[in-house]
Amino acid sequence: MVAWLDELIKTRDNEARNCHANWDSALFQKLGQDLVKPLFARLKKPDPLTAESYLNLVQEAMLCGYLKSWDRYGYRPKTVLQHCLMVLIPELLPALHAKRRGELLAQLWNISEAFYQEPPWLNQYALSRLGELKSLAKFEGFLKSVLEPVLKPIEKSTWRGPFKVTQVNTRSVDDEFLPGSMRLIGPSVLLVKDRERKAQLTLLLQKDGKSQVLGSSQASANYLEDFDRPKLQFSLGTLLIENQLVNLPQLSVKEESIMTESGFVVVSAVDSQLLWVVENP
Amino acid sequence: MDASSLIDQWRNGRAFLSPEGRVEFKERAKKPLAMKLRRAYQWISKNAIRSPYCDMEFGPVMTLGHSEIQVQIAKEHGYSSFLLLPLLTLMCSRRMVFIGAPGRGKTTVATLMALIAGEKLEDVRKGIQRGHPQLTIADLLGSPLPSELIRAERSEEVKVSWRHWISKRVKIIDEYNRIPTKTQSALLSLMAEGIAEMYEQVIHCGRSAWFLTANDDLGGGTFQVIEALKDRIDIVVRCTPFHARFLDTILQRIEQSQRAEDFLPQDIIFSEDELNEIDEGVRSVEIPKEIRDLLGFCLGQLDFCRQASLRMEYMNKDTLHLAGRRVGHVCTEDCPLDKHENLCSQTESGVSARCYESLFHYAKALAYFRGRKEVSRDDIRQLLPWILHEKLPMNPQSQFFQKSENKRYLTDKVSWVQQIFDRATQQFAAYEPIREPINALKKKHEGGLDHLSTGEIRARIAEIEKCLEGLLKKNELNGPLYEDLILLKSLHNWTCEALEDRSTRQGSLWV
Repeated sequence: MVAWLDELIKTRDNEARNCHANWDSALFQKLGQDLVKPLFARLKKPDPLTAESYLNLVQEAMLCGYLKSWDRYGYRPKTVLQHCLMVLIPELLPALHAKRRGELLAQLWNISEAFYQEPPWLNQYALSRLGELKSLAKFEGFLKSVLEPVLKPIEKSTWRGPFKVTQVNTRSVDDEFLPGSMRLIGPSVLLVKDRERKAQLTLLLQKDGKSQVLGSSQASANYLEDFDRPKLQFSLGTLLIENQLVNLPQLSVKEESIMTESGFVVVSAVDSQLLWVVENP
Repeated sequence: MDASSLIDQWRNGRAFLSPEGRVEFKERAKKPLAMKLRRAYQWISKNAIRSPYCDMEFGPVMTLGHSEIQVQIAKEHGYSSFLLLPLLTLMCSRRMVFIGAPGRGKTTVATLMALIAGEKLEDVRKGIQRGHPQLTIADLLGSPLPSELIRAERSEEVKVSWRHWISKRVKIIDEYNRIPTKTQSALLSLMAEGIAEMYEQVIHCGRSAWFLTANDDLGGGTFQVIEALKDRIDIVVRCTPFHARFLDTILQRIEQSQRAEDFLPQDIIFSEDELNEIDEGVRSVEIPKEIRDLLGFCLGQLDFCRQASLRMEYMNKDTLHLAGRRVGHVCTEDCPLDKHENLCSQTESGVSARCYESLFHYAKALAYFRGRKEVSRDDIRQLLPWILHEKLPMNPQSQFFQKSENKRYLTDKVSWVQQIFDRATQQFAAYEPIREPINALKKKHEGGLDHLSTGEIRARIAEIEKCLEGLLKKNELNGPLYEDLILLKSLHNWTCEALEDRSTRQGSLWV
């Protein structure tokens, strides 16, 4: 049934080998067999143009160095583009109407390739949200909505108060998560590591008590801020920020804390799955 | 920019839908040519010539093992000289010779260089000049057609049919040490001046990279290579031995009946314009002053011989050679210098200006290849042995080589030259305080003399004399000092000349 596809993969492989010094024939064959052929099999009606377009995307990703090794990226994509090629397209493309597939594949490539030109945290933040996408047709709109809050210019906090405290439960995305060390990967995106397991999740910091946990993440970026940090003093259930007392309900002993230029202090406790988000409105 | 505008902007990427409805791509952004060169190196090293080691190492070095057996591991990515130096030769259009036993890949690497320069395999094979004892000038350069010879009444009417290889960008001469001496002379003018002459007709060979091969001394050259031809060769590279771990590759080649030359990928082939762009890029790489100073300090002192003359200017090895003597004859206990400390004892001669020129050009090419904007000490250290391989003869009678730990340098020229450079680097740092007043005078001189009054010029002359005297009183006369004394004498001469010039002009005003 897919003899022509086998032939196409073989032809493309031979052509690329003759043209490109860094061509990894084995990887291309594997991607052809494990991604392109199964996708073609899942399409309700045979759609050779879509299969060929997808093969073009895979080939171009290899030539650009976006896909270098199956072992390294195959199961744990590290960029939006890798995630699109390895996860979103195989899962969501068959549900699209045949007429829209080509156009959406081109759009998917263009948008996800652009992430390589942006700061790493943006890619990692978007990657952590892509699991929520249910239809490729909504890819562009979805990205606009998730990037909107993090691309808003941040306002520097005066730390004058009054302070507002919100509790965020990490259990909502991971039953066993125990918040440990924290670092910013973007101006309003926080990476929280599990203090016992190899797990990490992201927290989107938003004003008016709207901060939310975003699920597991492979992020590794580090966003550094340089500002005059107010003095913090923790005691049982309270936090003193520049002599202003803030109550942190249910907090026993602090595990870690981090402060952002936009006026957030996030605190974890030694005996809780909660995160206390203190914000200066 | 807000998310909506940003994503709208991102939509205009490289992927587009063709009229048939297939996703295709616009051309990728052009990457720097240095990256393409590195890709070419990687492809050759993985697919064509399996070099067992990377002997050109960069960055900090860690030494493992004990005093008897030591292995040095460099922190940065290294390269095999056998593969990298030919690429550098192609980049800067110079002349190199491969030496080594038959079957080690000398001609294959040269052929790959021609293919990378855009030649077709068939043409490359046709263009290879193979040295043999009956090779005539006509075989090498071409000849007039017999009918032309009969028709012509004057020599300029004879139309020479030049051989095609002469105008190729990459020229390959296989086993050049088997070419008869007379034919070698014809090759010399082609290599040195880039022209060949016959029947009063001249052909220009244009910018070209030369690759010559020679079997080692045991393999035997049929004819002695003329010194002038040897001197025109900028760099030497040694073939690497075969390592048993590559036996599978050999087996694979037999089974697939394919050779690397048959399937060179398109994206490592350079157009004429790209090679010219690389040439320009290479020339624009900077060699920092501290590197030039270090190199001058290292190589400048090698020509010094305290026993050659009583007069300082002639205390060099050329004086000895013109008198029919060798360094070994005079580098004895009569010379008070420590033969282990002073580098002049180790060499039979100094380094020519042509060598410096080759070194600078290759160093720039190496820095360009590595993606650097300026030449580093490592670049010089790695290239120096290959540039000086056939140009810097040893003085095997030096006491330095009598020490058991130094004896092996007599057989390993590469390590020997690197040892000279390393010692010179140490000496350079130690010698820095002595050089301070000289550098200060040099800097002042570079500022010019026109703005100085006659009195100030006189004071400058006195300052130079004082500096000279101070140096002679406090230090022993050795290679590094000799270089500085020569410099100071020149500064003194130029300053005196300026003073005389000033006096003459003032005198003429009075007249």
